[in-house]
Amino acid sequence: MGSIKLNTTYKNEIKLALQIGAVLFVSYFLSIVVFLFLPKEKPQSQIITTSTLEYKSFDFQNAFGSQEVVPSSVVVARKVKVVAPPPPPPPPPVIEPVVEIAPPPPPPPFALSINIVAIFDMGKGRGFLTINERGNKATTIISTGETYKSVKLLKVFPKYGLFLENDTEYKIELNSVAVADRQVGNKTTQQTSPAQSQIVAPTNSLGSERIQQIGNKTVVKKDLLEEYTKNSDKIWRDISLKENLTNGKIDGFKIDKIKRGSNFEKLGLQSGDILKSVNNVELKSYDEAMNIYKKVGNMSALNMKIIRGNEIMEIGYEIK
Amino acid sequence: MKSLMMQRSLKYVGFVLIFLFSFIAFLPKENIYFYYLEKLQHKNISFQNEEINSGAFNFSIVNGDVFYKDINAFKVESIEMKYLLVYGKIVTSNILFDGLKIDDMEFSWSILSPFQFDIILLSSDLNGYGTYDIQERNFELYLKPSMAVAKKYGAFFNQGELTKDGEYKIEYNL
Repeated sequence: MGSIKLNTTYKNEIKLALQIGAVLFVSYFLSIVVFLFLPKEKPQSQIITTSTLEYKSFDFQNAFGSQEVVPSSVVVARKVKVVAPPPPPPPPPVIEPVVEIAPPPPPPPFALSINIVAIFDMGKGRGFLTINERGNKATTIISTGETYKSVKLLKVFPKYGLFLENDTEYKIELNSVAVADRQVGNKTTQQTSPAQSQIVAPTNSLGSERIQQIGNKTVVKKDLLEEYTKNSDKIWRDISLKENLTNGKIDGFKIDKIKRGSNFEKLGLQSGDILKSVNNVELKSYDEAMNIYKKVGNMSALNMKIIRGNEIMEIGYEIK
Repeated sequence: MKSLMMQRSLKYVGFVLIFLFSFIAFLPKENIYFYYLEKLQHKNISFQNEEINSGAFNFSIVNGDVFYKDINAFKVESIEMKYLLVYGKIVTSNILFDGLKIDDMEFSWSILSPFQFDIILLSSDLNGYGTYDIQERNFELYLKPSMAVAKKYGAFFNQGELTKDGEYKIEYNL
């Protein structure tokens, strides 16, 4: 019978497969050689895996080593003081059975009692929030990274804040007040809260009559400032500020954008101005800026030092 | 003639690639890890309580505690290594160090810059990026900490240079 002759194409394929097989075998062989030179087990380490300190009892009687040995020729008769025998040890106390009292339930986390009244979002998770505790109208302003009682503000977002308490993160959404966006001119959703509904600000009422030029002075009506202090979102609709950093530290606030026709433009401020100080208080941190913001309603005059281009200017306002 | 030579050279390149990929796949990665653990022990660093998962082109360590001089310095949720001949990556997730949580830290290497590792740090408290030069054994990091972290580790950050972008440039030679 004739032998089966293989087609040349099959021969080439078999040859190729054998070559690949040889390559694989060589690589496997080399990996075994590497394996022989490597440790087969994880190295042992003597680690005491407790996190508490180890206290040892201190033996005061033998703490200072052996006593001096007196040679026999120098023995001196000593008066031996007779010490009364020690009193018998008291009987062991009767251990009463301990009644286990169930521990009190842990208090609810403080973060659940926080209410966000206003959000100022600076972008990239930074910003500050006006918050109060439920049932308490007094508000506090905290910025990113700051801790309020047992809660730390981690990040600020346009509609909520992220807090940390006892290794648990809490997302607290804005309750009611409109969120201020950092870009002037962006539309923001507005939801007035019942608590703030009594503050009615007609849209066109902040008109130019509240800012008047009398001679060389710029007179600002007090109710205009009061409205701004009660409604911070109205400020951020007209003006956008950002930190002015010098060597990584806040050195005033730069006016990023001013809305045309707004009260801030009428007050003589321009985009690009850097606010350095207000009433001789230098603006070196958000806290200082917020303190001035809180007090501005009670001021009778406002003097601002600004840098415009390369020029240092002082702008003064009288508040009536 | 030329096409035959091209075919032959492509064939040999193919064999080399097959060899390299199969060698990486067959390599005993766990034992390499034990080898480096031995080296780290000389520098008083050790890993404990970890789970090891090894694959053909990847290797990962899950839920490890890192000890430095017998103190539990930090915990790592996972360290994952991938190596594909021309590109390699080590990704560590959820590192907890002294109350500071680093969500992700990534070291990547590519054949385009063979003597340099790129580093990226992502976390709510600390962001950063940098490089590690293998030849010069030099770290160059640009770190941007949160206010609280900058205050707490002020002594460390003040060793570096503060850039205009508010980042701390830290250089460290191993």
